[in-house]
Amino acid sequence: MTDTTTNPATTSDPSTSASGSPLLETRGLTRHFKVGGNLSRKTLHAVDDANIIINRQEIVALAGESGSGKSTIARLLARVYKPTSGEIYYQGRALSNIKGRRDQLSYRSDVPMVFQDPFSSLNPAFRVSHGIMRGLKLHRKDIPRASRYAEAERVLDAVGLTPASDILQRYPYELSGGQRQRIGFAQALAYKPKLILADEPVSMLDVSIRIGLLNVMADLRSNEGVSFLYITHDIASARYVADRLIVMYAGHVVESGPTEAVLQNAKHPYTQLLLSAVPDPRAPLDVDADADKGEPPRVIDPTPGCRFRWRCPLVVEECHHVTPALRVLGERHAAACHVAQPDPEIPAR
Amino acid sequence: MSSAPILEVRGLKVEYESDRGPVWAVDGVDLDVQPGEFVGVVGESGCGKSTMLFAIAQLLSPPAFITAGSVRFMGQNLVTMTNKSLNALRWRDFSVVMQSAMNALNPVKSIGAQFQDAIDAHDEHVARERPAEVLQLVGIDPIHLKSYPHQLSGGMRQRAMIAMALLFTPDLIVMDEPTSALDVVAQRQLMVQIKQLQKQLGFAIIFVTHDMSLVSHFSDQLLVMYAGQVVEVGATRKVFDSPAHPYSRGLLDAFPSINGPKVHLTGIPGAPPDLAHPPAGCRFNPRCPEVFADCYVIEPELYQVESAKARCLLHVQGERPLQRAAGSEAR
Repeated sequence: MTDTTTNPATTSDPSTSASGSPLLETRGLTRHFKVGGNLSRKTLHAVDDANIIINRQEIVALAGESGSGKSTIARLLARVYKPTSGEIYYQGRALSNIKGRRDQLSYRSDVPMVFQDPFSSLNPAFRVSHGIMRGLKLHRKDIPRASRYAEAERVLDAVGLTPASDILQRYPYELSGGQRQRIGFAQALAYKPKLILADEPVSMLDVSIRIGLLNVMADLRSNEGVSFLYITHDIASARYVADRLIVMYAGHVVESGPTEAVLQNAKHPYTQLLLSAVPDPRAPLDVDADADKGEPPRVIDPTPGCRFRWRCPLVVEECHHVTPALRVLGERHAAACHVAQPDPEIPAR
Repeated sequence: MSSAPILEVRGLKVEYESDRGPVWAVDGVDLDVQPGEFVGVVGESGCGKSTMLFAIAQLLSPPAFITAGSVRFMGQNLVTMTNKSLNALRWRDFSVVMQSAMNALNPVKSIGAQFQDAIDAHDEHVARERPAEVLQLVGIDPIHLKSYPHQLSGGMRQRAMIAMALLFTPDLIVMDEPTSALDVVAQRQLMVQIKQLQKQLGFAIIFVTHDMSLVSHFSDQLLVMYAGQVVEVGATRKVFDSPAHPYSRGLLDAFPSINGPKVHLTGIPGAPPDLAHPPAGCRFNPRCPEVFADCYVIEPELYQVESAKARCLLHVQGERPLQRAAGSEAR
């Protein structure tokens, strides 16, 4: 599994400079859906022109509200949907060129997905061992049949489920929500993945056990060398585990950069809105603070211009005509906003 | 805040019948709600907070039964009331907003028709403009009276539910995690709106949630529940600033902050106990970081800790010497 191919094209995303060629990269990734009846010509722009980079052993958080296109990106990366345009490069290789069954299987095992709902994503009729052993049989030809069980126990241990031999024999209904979600991670881990796509993995769980799952993600990253795309609307949890944060709004990437830089110095007004909405008991607050009343925009046949302009407090004339592109505004920190100012020490490029 | 409480719950016990014997989902809860007060109820899944809410609203269905205690609402005991007289009170004097407001609306009826249903059922003489009025109160254009639920966004559906609850200007609204299906921005909008409506109309709220941070800025009184019991109760600010029970402390430390230094968090290890066979002594003892010998033997009561009350042996006053006293208060 060595990756010697270097990326042919240069990219405008500032994050590449950190660690050579990325594990996964999207360029101009776009996905539209037809909506309405058969005769309708309306298109919903779920994701438009997204350039995302995920490096090895990196946790990237993708944040945004419902309908911002973050789950669509996960599904594009998992090849559930085909992109309308744009391309996904995995270890430098275009996904549209991955055609043979063996190559497809190998991509699937390298980039598995963990789902949001641990209550419906496990088959209730089978024991825990079933899902994990199937994954091992299909994707791990290097493991002889006799050692599969030991490997299944190992992955359960890795996600903090002990005693593993006991858990393997249980049915999903015998497990709590947090344990089930750990099974989801164990199943993904059984493939020996490079990148796990985690679509809101903790949002269905109690606040008190969420942190345990986030710690599992951090451990898997350091012990197993797995990268994560962590999709969430909870910025505080993104801050807790993620190295880099990408904020989406209405199908556009509006801001990206190292997590701390984005949080401490949010450039895009939408990121600032997201941050102000996080309930933080440690912070004083006046309840009368202006609440944003806006609704998420409709992204059916959008016209050019910034999609946040209807809710934006800083809107200027230009926002109504020109779609802002991501501009580098700080060290590895970019935002798509006409108004945002670059960090003083870095001249705008 | 010292006038007669609008709701007085005393020694409320709810039992679920099961094959393994009775499960005490709510085990002796006391609660006072003053007029116009916002009471937050927090705890993990399975701590009995939703069951308690249903018991207060008399909405339990078998196999759940209220086995003891009273719920006095404006002087009347709801537990012993007949269904008929309850129906007269419901919606008019107290109303309920359910957790899955996404699904609580009838998908084949317009919002306006559902409002009319409620009005007809209560035989109330309500002004014709009232439905439009309450929709405006929650920030929805009255044009949506003609809309069907699928035409509204998740946040709007939740607000439509709250509008319905406001139809007859009740004195108490009971809310069961009304924001859990929303993302942070919509959640925040809804919370601010609920609070503003409360200031404007003066109703009292019991708000159940598993996310302690959510109610931190909104509630007056906070109730922390664990394994069917109230483990801590006090003014919200007091509980947040100096939580007296190790469980409240655990809940508070369970979520990361967006401010301040990054610290490694552990959450609360373990799971809530099986309520058919709760642990002897303090029910939190298997998960408690500050557990000592007495915790396995003595069942704690609610002890006064400054202005709050906590169900923890660390706070026993006076006579009985503690086996581990020094340093146990250190956070």
